[in-house]
Amino acid sequence: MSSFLPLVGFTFRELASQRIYRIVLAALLVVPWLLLIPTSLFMLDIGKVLIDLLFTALHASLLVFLFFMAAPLITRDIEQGSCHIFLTLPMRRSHYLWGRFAGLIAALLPLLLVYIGSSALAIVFAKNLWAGYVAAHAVLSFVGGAGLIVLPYFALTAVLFLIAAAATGLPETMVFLFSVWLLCWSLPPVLGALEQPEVAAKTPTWIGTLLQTVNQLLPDLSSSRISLYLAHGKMLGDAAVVGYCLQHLGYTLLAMMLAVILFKRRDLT
Amino acid sequence: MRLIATGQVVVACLLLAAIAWGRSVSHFPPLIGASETLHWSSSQQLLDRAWAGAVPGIAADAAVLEIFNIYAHRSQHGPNAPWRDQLYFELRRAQAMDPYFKDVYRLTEGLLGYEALRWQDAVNILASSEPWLNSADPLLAASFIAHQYLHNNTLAIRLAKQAIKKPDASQLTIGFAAALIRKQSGCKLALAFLESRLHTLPRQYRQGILFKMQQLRHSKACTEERHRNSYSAE
Repeated sequence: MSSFLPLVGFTFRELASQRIYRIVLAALLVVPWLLLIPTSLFMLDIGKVLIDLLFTALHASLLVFLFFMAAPLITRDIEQGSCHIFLTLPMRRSHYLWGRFAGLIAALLPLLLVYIGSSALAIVFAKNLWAGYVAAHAVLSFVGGAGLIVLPYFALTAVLFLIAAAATGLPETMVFLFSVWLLCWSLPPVLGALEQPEVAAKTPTWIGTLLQTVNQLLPDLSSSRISLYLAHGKMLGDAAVVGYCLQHLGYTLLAMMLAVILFKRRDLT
Repeated sequence: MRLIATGQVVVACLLLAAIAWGRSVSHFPPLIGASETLHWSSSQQLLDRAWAGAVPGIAADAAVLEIFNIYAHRSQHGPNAPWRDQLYFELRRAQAMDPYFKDVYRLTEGLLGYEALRWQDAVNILASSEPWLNSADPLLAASFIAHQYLHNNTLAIRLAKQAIKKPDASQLTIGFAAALIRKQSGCKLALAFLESRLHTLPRQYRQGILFKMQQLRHSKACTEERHRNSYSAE
């Protein structure tokens, strides 16, 4: 445990010292204000459009973090043997992996805080600019939605560790991670569309079953209904929100446990 | 060592149970349900949803921007000009991706109705807002179009009654519905209604309504009604 916290701090500093991190941080500060420009093109549901755009930008920034900061960091560690520096301290492999994971999440938090803060101010500005077209509790809806949208990305980060623990290098990690993300992104809404009787009637049953099975194996990125409801200022059921949070945290822990098991068995020489 | 392994298995089982429970309770109500929203192939719909992924709202926003684009670049006029079909398709797509989006219904009335003259399609889209929106506005517009252009008073009265039930039903809605029910609606009411709709559209999209108002003012029925009113006033 004594080596765990320094590793978290080290990972945080390692990421924060990168130029890309600072660029993303600056971009997250500016982007919400730039999104007011396309928002102004709409007529009635201006607040909803702004929150849609903010949620989309949040997904994009989380992807940038996952693919361009988190994935290279952990893969480089294993591929180039940098992890030996830590493991010879001595540090248990499980502590090393959990420390790196916690460090990545810690490095993600300032980015999120800056983005949420800047977005909240942009929403308040929009509310003053287009009074009556932005819901009174739009800031609250956005902050709550942002918190829920981030959860599946914690699970995806854990999946990244699972992949990296077994992969031979960065290209392999990237290909598998991208495939998992693509499935997580597109499967839940497709399954949602299959709930419609007309679509279900025209789609072969085995495709539906196959998609359901694959979906059960992946973290559910299905924040589509959440983002739609919150953009329109509608309330979410308490039990559904608790279930949503629990399943993503459960998936995160499970994926990390599997990653630790794989990493312990991996030949690092 | 064996104790640790057993502990890990127990924790893994607990996590699996938590995920399964979480999945079973985190069901947010489906957004699709109205059969009217399906107006293109199922594969197209699946593709649209797969592309939009976790942010279906942005796909609806993109469809609305595409509607502005189609309207700005319409070159052909006439009842079968392709832009009218494109407009209808994009409105349906936007509605399917985000049925709560008010701009879709406002553009349906303003562009699909008054510009593309697809009255029946416009009424269908506006009427399908009923389960999604807590607003009388689209239903009132649908009722007006059904009465004024489709000459279907039964449908108009049904839609007006639905509009009255909405929490934001205004005096105009109630008055319009009452006039329809009494079958006393005429030119004055139609012009007042169009006038009220005019100010909710941006200036560049007002030509269609202005043209309809001009047409109505110079119509034979309106002229006769004016004469009748001035005669009775004297």
